[in-house]
Amino acid sequence: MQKLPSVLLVDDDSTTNFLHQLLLNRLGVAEQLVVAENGVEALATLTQTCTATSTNCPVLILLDVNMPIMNGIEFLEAYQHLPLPQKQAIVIVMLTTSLNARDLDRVQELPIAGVVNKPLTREKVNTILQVHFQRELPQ
Amino acid sequence: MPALSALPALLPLFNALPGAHLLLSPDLLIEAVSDAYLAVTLTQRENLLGRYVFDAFPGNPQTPEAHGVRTLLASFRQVLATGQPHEMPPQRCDVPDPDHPGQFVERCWLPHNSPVLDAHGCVSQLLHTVVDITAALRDEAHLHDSHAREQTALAEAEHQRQQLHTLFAEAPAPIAILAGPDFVFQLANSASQRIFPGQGLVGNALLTAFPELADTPILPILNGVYSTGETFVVQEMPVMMARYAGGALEEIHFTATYQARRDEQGAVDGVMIFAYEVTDQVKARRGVEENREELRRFQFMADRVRDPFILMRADATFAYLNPKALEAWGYTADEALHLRVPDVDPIFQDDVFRQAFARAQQENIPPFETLHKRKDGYIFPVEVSMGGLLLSGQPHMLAIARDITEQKRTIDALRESEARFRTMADAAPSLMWAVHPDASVRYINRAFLNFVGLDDEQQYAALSWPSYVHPEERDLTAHALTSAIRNRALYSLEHRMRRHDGEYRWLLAQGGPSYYPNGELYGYVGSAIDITELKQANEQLTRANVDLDNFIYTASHDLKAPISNIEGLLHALTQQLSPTIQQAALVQPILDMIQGAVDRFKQTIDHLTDITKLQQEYTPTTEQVELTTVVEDVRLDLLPLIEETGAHLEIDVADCPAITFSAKNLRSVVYNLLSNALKYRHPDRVPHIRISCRCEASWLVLRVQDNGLDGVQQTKLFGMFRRLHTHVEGSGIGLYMVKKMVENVGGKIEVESQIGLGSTFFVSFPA
Repeated sequence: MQKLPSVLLVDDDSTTNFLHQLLLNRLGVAEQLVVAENGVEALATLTQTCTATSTNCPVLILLDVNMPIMNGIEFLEAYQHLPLPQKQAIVIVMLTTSLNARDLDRVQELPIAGVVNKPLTREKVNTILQVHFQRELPQ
Repeated sequence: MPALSALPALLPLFNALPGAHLLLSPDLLIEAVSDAYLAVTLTQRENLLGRYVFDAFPGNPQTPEAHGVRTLLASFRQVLATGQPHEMPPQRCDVPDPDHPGQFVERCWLPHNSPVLDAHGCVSQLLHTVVDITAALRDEAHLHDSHAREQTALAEAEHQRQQLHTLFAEAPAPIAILAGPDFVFQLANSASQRIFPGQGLVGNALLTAFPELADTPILPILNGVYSTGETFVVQEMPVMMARYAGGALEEIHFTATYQARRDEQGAVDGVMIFAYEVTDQVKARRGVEENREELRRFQFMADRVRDPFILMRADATFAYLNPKALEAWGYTADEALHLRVPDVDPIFQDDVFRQAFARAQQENIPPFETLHKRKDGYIFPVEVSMGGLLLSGQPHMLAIARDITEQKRTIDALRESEARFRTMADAAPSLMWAVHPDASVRYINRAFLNFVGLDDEQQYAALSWPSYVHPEERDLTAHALTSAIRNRALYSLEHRMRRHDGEYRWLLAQGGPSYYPNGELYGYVGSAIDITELKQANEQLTRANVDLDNFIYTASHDLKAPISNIEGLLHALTQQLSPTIQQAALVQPILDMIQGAVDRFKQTIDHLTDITKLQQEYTPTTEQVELTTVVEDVRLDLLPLIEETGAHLEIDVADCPAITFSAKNLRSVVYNLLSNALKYRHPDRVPHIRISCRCEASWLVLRVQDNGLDGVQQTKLFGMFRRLHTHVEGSGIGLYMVKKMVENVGGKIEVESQIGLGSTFFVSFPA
């Protein structure tokens, strides 16, 4: 499978980040894994890496909802106003701890490609790749 | 008297005429006067004959509104000038009182003036005829049939005018002269003919013309006059006669004068009759008598009514007392004849009575209370209604008196009970109130006075209660109370009211209608309790519930992340372990136990999440759910467990009507009950589970009976995280969920347990 050029993990929980990194690396999903611990860091990363000429702009963002400083929802609102040249290519998947109606109602209006229940598993990753990137993990 | 000298025989007849007539010369000197005229004018013939008419009747100078003299003179002049009769409207023309010189007696007249013409057609005399209508007019006042009377009077005047006119001006008067002992009509003038227009009279014997008179008193009268020569006058004699020969007999009334006619020798040779028909007048008077009959009927009814009827005269004597009145006062009818009002009413002494009597003639006196005294001296309270009325032209006063001793006693009892109520109410710690039917304050108790900080209820009533109510609830409160009163409904409202310290407190006010014994509304009586603390506690509770909801939500949410991490880390760790370590004695069991703990943790969180969802879902979408389908689905889901336990399942729900419920929730209910029955089976018995249903009043009851473990305590059974048996897997959430779901739609769940036999769950859905 051709690896994705770059994946951005946005989560304040270091254990979660560790486990997700471990999983994605083991599955060989991306050339590069970037971690941001809140919305502000994620925005900074995007502004730095997604220029007109850059090649390491993330194509997949796995976004947590509850984070300090700037949470996932606030990040998405700010992201909508961000003038990025490669915005069309960026897929944002929201990670939640519950598929609770309260959370789902809030994210429906936002520019996200999907919602996935934590924790990430091989199957969930594979589904994301199939739906959004037309590729598949090797058996 | 030139005119009468032409008919000298008629002078006595003129004098005897029943009507009041005056014959005047053209210069208005009195030439002849009838006896009736003398009678009505209170005069003597010798004082009138030859006098100028207005000297004889100068008119009453004290009644300037009556222009009697002037109008009469004008009428005379008109008749003299035109030669035509003139009928005058009713006149007031008082006559001098012969007993009191200078005073006048009230008289009202209906005058008629006719010319008497000589052979040349010139007016030789005036015939002045009057009908005294003084009494008639007075009668009118209380008989209320003035119109009919006037008509009668006019008709009478017209009739007389006709007769006299004919007599003196055109033709002989309505006279008949019967000659000889057989009473042959020698003369029957046209006036007579007019009474009997179809009869040929002259030349016929009386009985030939009127055979119907044979058996009437007329014949004996005629015979009497003929034999004795004495004049005979009959008044209003009824005679059955035919107006036409062979016509039907009708009752005709005559006032007639029968006078003997004598020949030159003075022997009676015939009878002159002046027969004056008064049928109309008699009929009119009968009308009056019918009115009297009505009065008698009134008396008849008054005699039988329940309450005393008392008819009083102006002098405070009694014109009539009905039997009830006599009974109430203890007098006999004879004794009552000498009784006066002050004898029976200690309050209505003469002065008071006179005032009341005068007032009653003007207006109806509204019911009032007074005292009546019995013959034996006992005094009792009465309620009296009074009104004035005229009887036979005399003012009277009618009173209806009702003994109100009982009523008074009731009112006294009521006062006493109210006093007792107040004593009790004042001692009560809650606020108590009573309002009049118009919602104004009647009473508030001591606690209420203390609450608003007033000393007495008059102050409160004066300020009007809405001013104490919080402005936001003022209109609502007033409206709620008045509409409750209007509908006689219970009143219940929460509203704020200003306490003596200025703080608004929440009150729960409740009240209901209170009635007098007669069913009349006394007002509304109620209480109010200060529910400020209760309301605050309720608000706190609501907040706490919301907080709890949020807590469960947050907890379930926030606990998920770390447990997911633990699980993830456990997997990561497992992969890091070398095969040697993995095969070490306790490693795998420990790893499995960690995984088990993680699973249970996750399950608990899932249940918590479910509960949160359930509590948010107060109105789940309901539909008609078939129990059969749901039970079969659940059975299939639980089939592995059923087979494993070898349970015997008896399902008898085919006849159940559909249940109005959320399909998902009904499935949960059935699933929980059935899986519980399987899980909590008795270790020594093959599970036997029976699912059935029945309709019960307004419920549809689902029944799940098992032969499993027992000893349940209902209240604890349905609590959250309750498990009664430790040896079986379970979270303790199932029955709590079932209870919640069922109660959310107004249903209920109960359980019956018999030691050693098992349990039966009853789930009742509102039908």
